[in-house]
Amino acid sequence: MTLAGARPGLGQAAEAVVVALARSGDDAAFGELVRRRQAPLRSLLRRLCRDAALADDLAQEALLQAWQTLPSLRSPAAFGAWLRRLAVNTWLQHLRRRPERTAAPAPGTDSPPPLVSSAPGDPSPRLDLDAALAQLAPLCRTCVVLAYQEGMSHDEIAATTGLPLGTVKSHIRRGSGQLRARLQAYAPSPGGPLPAEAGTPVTGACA
Amino acid sequence: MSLGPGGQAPAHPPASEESTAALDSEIAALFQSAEEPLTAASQAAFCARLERDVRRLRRRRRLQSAVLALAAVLGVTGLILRSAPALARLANAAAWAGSAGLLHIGGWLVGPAGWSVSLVLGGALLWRLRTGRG
Repeated sequence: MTLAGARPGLGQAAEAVVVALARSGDDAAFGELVRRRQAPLRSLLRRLCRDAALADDLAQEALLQAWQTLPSLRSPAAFGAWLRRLAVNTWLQHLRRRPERTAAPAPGTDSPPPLVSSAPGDPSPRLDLDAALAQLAPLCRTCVVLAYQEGMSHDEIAATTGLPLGTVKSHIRRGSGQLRARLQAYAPSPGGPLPAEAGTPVTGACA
Repeated sequence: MSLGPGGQAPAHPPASEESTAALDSEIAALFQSAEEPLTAASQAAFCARLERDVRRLRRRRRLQSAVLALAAVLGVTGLILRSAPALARLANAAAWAGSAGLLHIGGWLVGPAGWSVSLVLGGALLWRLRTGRG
């Protein structure tokens, strides 16, 4: 298998062509798909599980599954959505194996952990989106991330996660409400735009 | 989904009027601005690890295929040996029908030895087909 080295010409090929080659057992083509898709896949999983190492493990698992089941993919054009569904299913299976506890306020405190942090050597406060997401229940967070980061519609999320459409809508409504309420507290002025739009640096570091 | 600069996937346009991204563009903008690009070293390490895992998986699949093929051949050979008297009668009948040439070969083919050779060859062919991806 030649995941590490690209074959000349594959890098410029349309994805449907590369997928078709990979389906026929071309390892270099599969390697090219991994190169193209690993960044968004890992980014999505990091946002979902808030742990970079675990996210990479799950991404590996999803890609291995993709390698095994790629010949069963009917439409090469649907590869992106298919791979994303594999990743989300891997995450949901992980949740079933090891149910995650939502980040709760520390004992003796009434408020949730602060959502701003400063990077070493950088005195400016940064809004930690992952810390805000950590306060959502895992399934709720999954729906919110798929909606806002991946731009998926409610129907697509329901199809991807296997949740009923009403549940997806309810998760997104509740999750975005909680997220907005928590993040709004850090806006420069009451009722003003969220810090990201106000120019405050935002970090995406996993909690 | 097409890829943007640096291998990052751009946010999808709203797929329907119900798209949440359209309902709350501020949170969507916050998600986009919180994207952290992965370093080239991290991507290379990820690929190398995946390559190792694929090799390991491929070896395991080959071993499983070999064990399955061997078990199938042994099982069917055992069945043939159990029903050898009946096959021997069939072979004798074939030999009786003709004294030489193709009928002799036919008699050998329907005998236990012929069946075993056919099964081994068939098993090998199946194994090749099953591990065609490996």
